[in-house]
Amino acid sequence: MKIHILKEKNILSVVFRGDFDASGAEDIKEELESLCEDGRSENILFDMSEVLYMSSFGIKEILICVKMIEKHGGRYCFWGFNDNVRRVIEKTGLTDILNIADSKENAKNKTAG
Amino acid sequence: MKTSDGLIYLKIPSNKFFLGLVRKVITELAEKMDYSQEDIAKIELAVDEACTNVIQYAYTSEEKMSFKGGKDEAIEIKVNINPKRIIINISDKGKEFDFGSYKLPDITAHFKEMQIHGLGLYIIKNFMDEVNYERSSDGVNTLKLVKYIKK
Repeated sequence: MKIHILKEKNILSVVFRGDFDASGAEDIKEELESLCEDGRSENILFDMSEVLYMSSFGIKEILICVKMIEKHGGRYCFWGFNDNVRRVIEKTGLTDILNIADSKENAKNKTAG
Repeated sequence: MKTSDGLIYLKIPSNKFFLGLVRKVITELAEKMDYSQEDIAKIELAVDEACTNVIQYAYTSEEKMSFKGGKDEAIEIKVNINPKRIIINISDKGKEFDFGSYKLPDITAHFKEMQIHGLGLYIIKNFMDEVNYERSSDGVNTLKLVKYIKK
């Protein structure tokens, strides 16, 4: 698994690519967490549209990141979950906790305060 | 094509590296049966979570990325199919799992406290029709997962 980082004005887009299982989470853990921990990071959009699969290890990694961002008062939004991934996050109650938008535009609006 | 009866046997080293392989085998099999796309995704995830639990907890390996996989570090996956259902038995020789005392967690409360242990088992229990755990006298743990084909 890989993440790609795109800068657009004051927004940081983090694009996830691959299967977000225990193995994938380990691949990106270090890079992702250092990004989320950095208080200087701008608003972060998490683009999940290229994640075809996610297990509980993906969920755990996402939660770690969100906690890190919230700790320094940053803003974030996830968008682009496919049906299979959405079902998992709904079933585990994650949709009530995360900031999620149905499109990139709406995700941008949600992070722009 | 009609689903025929069959037994498929897969043995992998206890390593995250092979999770993708197991998922491919399981989904390929489920796709040949009469499961909906939703049920295929559920079976795929449940099997992944079960194997991940073995890798993370039953065998608490210090050499996560090694390809050791000796006889005491193996996960055996036996899949039994017929036109009505799929049974997946996942076995290991690692630590005993306290399945009996396990309760479905209050996931939202857990997230707030960042205590997210048991999430994998929560998913397995939610997504499969039957889930049973057994430990044999010679120390083999077996998690049995069953999913029926909806009429």
